[in-house]
Amino acid sequence: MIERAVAFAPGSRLAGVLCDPDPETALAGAPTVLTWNVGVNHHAGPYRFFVDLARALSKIGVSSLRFDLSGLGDSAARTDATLELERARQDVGEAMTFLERHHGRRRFVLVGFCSGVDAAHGIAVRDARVEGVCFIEGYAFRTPGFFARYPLRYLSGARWRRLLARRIPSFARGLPLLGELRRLSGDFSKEDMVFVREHPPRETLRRDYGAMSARGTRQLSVYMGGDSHYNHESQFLEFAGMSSLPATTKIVYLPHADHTLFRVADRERVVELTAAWVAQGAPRARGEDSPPKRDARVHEAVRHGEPPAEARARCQAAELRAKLRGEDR
Amino acid sequence: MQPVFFGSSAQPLYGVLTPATARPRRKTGVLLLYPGVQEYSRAHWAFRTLAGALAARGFCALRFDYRGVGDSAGDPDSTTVDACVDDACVAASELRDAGAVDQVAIIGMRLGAAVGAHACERLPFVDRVFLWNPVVDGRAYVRELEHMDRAMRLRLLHPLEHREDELAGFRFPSHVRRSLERVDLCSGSAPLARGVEVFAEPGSSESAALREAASRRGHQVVTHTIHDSGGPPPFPDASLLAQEAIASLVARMDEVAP
Repeated sequence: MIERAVAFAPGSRLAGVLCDPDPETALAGAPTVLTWNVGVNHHAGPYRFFVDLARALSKIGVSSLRFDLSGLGDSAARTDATLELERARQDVGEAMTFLERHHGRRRFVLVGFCSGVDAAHGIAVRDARVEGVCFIEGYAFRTPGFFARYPLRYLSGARWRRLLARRIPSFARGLPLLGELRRLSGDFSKEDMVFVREHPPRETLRRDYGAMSARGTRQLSVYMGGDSHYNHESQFLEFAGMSSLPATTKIVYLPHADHTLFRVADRERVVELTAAWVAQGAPRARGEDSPPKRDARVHEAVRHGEPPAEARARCQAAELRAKLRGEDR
Repeated sequence: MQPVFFGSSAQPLYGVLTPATARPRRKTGVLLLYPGVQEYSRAHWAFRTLAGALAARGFCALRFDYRGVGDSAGDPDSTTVDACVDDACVAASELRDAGAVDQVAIIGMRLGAAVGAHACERLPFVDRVFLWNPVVDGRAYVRELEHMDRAMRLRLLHPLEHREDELAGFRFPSHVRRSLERVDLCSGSAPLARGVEVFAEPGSSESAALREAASRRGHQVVTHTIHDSGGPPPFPDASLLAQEAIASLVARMDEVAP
């Protein structure tokens, strides 16, 4: 892996880190992955998520650029008066242009996390250089299916515990009966998490998803179940108005993970599945044959009745997972 | 702002050099030492602001990520206190070369303050160390991190019990824990050279303990009171602004450093 600090865009305004795999392990024809800061969290990402992702991608031969949007993290501010979202879109566009001009990259995958989804979505819809887009905690609308499952949250002991901690009045924090909650409750009085975002209208989203699929742009959406507006696997189909997912789209729902992937295991899981999804698109894009070992496994699965396309995708994903874990297969 | 990788090619460190934007340029460069892994992201914006404010007073500043943190090589398993001190020494030399300065002053926040206090022992060209809400007692610091971890778990609806080797969002193996617990800036062997100044909240017990420890050794530690000083955070994802603390640190550096 080779990591280089880069500065690009007019006035070298934008700063980031270009992470390339060793030349002998580079996956020919693979797109370059772009990630950028999430709100005021700089380009390393929440709990270093983007650094872990970049290094996992490099292990499977994929390059990435993680950078900061104008005025945030390590990047300088723009001097024009563009609105925030448009500014973000322009910055991501400038990152792609920089990689095209100076590093010969032609195809890109964007990974938007939380508020980063806004720019990723906007660019992926209109820029043909984007062959794939990953939305982590992307847009979600509450549906009848969501509300039908909503009461299940009252069965969660963790929710009751948190509610109790929030409601403990300051005079009662000395009561030993409350155990550890009395100490932890003090923190809730200082500040609280706010993840409020504006979504495009549902009709616009449906049109955009359709347009991306028609162009062959691969889409991966990862939703977490903790404190979110997404509470079951098929909710995407419900708000996107689809009866089934198009071949270009993959949805992953992690019911026990939280919005910022606080736990190491949750983060590792999302890194792994995102890297595997990126790499799955690469050989198809360059029309490369599967490696012989994988061919044998696919053949065996087909012989046992698995559809060829599914067997190929499954074997390839298993291979990538093993590679990410450093297992020798 | 100039992002750079420096240090050994096997373990490169990522940093951002902020050259002086005002004239005359100072002879002193300022090395900024982030808090530890768990509090690093929270301090990023404040450190960027601090570097910019120092540059506007003619100082060249370097802020960098310890190994296993941010963009530097390695993972948090490698981020022991000793490793951070080694990295701080490498960064100080880098600042001298890249910033073309004769002397280096250090501003370290929380665990970065303890790192700075130890690093200056090995760096003859460092003549001033500002400890910003310092971690003085490693055991108390680990307890604070454990509290933060449990508060986050409560808030995020995770089980309160957690893996032994994980703390506040990051891997936390036993050797890293031990290295943190050994931090004790008040012990007889701790470095408290001249030029050490403490910036802490009113009534800070750390500040008082350091002053007392220094006086036992015949030194004097100058203390300053700040209010939004970046003390133990309730949650690691709450970004720190610390405008008042930054203004105090910059004004003092402007006053005392050549």
